[in-house]
Amino acid sequence: MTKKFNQYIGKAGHLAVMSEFLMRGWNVAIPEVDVGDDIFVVEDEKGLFRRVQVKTATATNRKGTFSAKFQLSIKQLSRTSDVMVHYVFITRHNEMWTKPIIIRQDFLLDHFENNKVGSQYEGNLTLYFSYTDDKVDCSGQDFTKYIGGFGDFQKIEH
Amino acid sequence: MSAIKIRVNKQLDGFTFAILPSVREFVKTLFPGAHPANTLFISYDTASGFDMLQNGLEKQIYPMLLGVDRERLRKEVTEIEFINTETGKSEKVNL
Repeated sequence: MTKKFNQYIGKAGHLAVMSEFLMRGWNVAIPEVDVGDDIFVVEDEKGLFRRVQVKTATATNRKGTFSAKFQLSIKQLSRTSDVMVHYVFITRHNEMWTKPIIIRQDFLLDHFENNKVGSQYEGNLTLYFSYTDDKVDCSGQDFTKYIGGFGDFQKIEH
Repeated sequence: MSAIKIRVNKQLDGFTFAILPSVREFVKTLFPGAHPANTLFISYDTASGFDMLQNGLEKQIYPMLLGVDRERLRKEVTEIEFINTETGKSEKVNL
């Protein structure tokens, strides 16, 4: 896969995730300058605001299972502000997107600091997700509970 | 857990104090009925340069964030560690 195609898959992932938020009744926006957050997600009526970081990967097939590798900035993960970042991980597998794995920043940081998930290199954290049947594992931690975890994005009726 | 860790993020217009989910669970176990918050934001004028620890603000913060009053906290917890999320530096406060 070329570096150029990575940009295509990254953008496709963003748009797929944005589409999900829109279907749940949340408004979305992409910051004009691409630093930090990928998407701003807003509940229009009350002005509830959430920050979203989308991480995309292509699946590596294994025997009866597949895995995906994601990279994120440890600095951004560690900087807990009043509006936590929601990390959304999606994987392209068999010409389809997997269900999004949504982990709020404080939960992911807790896994990193206390469960030692992922590996660190030059300020980045690399996470390996292993998908088996309907389960997802990361460094021995069960991430299945985060699949489709839209709990902080309850459906809004318009 | 030797100390309760509170993460402090100094922003342009104030401070955000946060505890991780494992700390919230720890507090709930230690103090049944406690309702720890995820974050607490204290707003100031832009770029106030306010120094939280020199002004004793932390004494007001941790009971609110942890959802436990100071007297109850003192019985079970000896110190609280405030971690600057920008620098990684920490300061311990005895209860």
